Amino acid sequence: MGSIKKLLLLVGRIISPILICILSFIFFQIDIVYHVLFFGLIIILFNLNRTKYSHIISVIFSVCLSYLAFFISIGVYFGIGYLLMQFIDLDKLEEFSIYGYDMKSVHLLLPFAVYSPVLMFLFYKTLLKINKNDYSKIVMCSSIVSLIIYGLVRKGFEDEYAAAFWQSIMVLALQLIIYQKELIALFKPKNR
Amino acid sequence: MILSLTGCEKDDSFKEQAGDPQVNAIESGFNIEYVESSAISKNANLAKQLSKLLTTPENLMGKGERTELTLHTQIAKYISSEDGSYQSYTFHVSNTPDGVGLENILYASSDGGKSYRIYLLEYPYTEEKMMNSFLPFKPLDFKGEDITYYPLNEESKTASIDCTVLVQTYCQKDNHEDGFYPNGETCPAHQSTSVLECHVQFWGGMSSSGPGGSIGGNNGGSWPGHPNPSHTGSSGTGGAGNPSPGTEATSPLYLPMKSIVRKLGPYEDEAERDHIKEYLNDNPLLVLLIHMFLGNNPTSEQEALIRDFLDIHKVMPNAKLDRFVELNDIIQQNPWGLIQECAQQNGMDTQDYLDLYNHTIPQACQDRLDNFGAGYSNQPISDGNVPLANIDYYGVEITTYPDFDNDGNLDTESEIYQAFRENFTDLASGEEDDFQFTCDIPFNSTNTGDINWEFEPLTVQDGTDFISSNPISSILLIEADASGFLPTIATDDGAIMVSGFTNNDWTISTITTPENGSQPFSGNRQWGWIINQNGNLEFFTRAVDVASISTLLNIGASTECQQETYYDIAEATWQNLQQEIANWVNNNGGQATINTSETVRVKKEKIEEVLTDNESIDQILSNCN
Repeated sequence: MGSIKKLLLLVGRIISPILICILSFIFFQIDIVYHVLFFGLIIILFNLNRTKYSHIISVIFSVCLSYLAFFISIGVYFGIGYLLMQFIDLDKLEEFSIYGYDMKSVHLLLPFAVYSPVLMFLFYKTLLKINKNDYSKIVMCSSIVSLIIYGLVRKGFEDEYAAAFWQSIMVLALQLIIYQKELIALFKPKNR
Repeated sequence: MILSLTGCEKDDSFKEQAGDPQVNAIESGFNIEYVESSAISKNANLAKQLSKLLTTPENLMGKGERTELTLHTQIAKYISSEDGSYQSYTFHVSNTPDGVGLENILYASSDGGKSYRIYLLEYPYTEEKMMNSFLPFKPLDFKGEDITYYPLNEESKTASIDCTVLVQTYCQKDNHEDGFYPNGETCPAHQSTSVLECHVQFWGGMSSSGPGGSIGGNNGGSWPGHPNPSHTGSSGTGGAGNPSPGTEATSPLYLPMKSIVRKLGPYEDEAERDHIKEYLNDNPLLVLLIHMFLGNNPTSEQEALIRDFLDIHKVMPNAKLDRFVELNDIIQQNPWGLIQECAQQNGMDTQDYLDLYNHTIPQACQDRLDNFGAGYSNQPISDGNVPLANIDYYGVEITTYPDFDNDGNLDTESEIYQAFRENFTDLASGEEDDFQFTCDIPFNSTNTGDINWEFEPLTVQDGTDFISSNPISSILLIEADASGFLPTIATDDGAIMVSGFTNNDWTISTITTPENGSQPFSGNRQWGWIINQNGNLEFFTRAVDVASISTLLNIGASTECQQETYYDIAEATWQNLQQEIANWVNNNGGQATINTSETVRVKKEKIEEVLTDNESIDQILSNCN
């Protein structure tokens, strides 16, 4: 009975922030920039006992890091785009496509599915107690692959679902990494 | 030895591309025409023979020094006798060795296409000579020229070849009096009835028995590069009728991709040059048309025109070269050519717009910009960076004059005009909720956002000058904003400078400032009043401008969608001004109604229609719907 309670509690800790992220998109039809704020708050509020710093500093840091990842991703996107512009006509990038997926969409896919998640993992590693092991790497890579697949299927990120999906995947990945010990213990065969 | 067949995807036939068939041999009883891959592939046996050449070239060619042969099968010259018993297809060989000149592969059949004799033909001419002589759709005379041919299969090796000639004219059969080339030039046969005017065309077989021919030994099966060519001979002139057994008929097919690329160069970027070459390789019919257009000694203008056309053809593969040339001529003669008809149909006096188009800033404006120093400059219409140009007219008709100064008397026109100027920045500033962006905004399913814009003087003095009797060179900034982080990135501020002023109107010109960068539009706009055809006072704004989109935003959005968004924002801005003026007049005791706005832009679809449709350009341009 005790182990079921533990299991439910663990699942709750992992799933709850994801649900709140999704609900925030459903109930608050607001600009993406506010959802970045929510993301920073949700991540830290659900993991206050896992931070390296005091609660207040952690909350402030979390919000700042969330925005930093957001703006740096956009900055890198425009920066690389600007460099590309020096060599090619970007309109022509749209002419090169594979199965209807053009090169310009690939350029847009990178900040969504690569830059921002990588930055997010790097930033939150400084704020939260995260183990650097193969398990963490697999989770990180899986989340990036999921985002790439989503981006390839729904190119252009033309709706709010894209942002909701991104946050859900990132929160799930962070929670799986943060609670990896508990998860491994749960699924590890017990010695009799 | 490798034999490769290049591209077989084009389906259009020459006739469809170039209009009615014009290429017919009449004196000889032959028909000559260009056929494309779709027609070639319908001939199952020929397709099989071509495939055989592709898959087992060594069976046909033997082992020689040539290790690769690239056959261009997208287009062929098809020659057929009137009774249909004789037919031949001539293909261009792309990878001719240095010094050989032109190589063609000939497939000839005398049994209705059941079996083919295959030959390699060699024209040992210089590139210059070929460029000058083998003009597509033009007659040429091969009198006395030496040609070499190599039989490639058993059927051709055993055939007893006579020399013959193919007399070719480009007029329709029995239609010399009305015959024309595809480019509209009069057919030579139309000019004279003499035999010489029916220009002699060469055929590829040679022997002593044909008219004007000479003999060569038949060793059979040799390959270029080997010392024993099968036959050499010269073409003859005159002669007519279906080929007798042992004769073949061909006409040289020359696709000068390399020469055209060289003519259009120099390309500093090797990749760009290769790209053009590859593109031409995939579009052989286009190569023929370009070759015909450039002719022997193309001018730099012709070459520039072809470079432009190639850029267009890449995005609009159905664009016709002759239509592009015609369109270019229209615009050269009249920059308004594309929109004049529709502007007039919409009641817009093109002279007003021509004045605005030609309006330049006076010296006082230039002096002020110069005094400001770096970062301030005029932004003329030529700085616009999108394909669409805009002319527009927005009017508000005042049927009852208002009393702005509340003196109990209706204001005069000049008082209303002055009041309009004094309130201009308030009236022109505005906002629109849920503005529909044409470009996709990430994480925004409706691609909408609230936008607003504000006109404000650069300095307090500019504000004072703007409403004074001498507003020349006063500057207004236009601050734009939008709700939401990502739409805000897309906002584009601007600045304008008063560059003309009368008692009826004032004209602004767009400028670049360090504060707001470049203005989203380049050109001139006028605000003012007239007494309209109803005898009423009418406030108006009209402009000739071209959007200057943010190149940085091009990273995320195409030029096309940005240009649409820019023009839509302009429309929202001036429709808002109309509404504001009407409300302002109505709220001050007057009566005003908004007139339907008029905008004329040449849309991409219209240009596409002009370049691809068979309807005359005049007809297309007069259709303003």
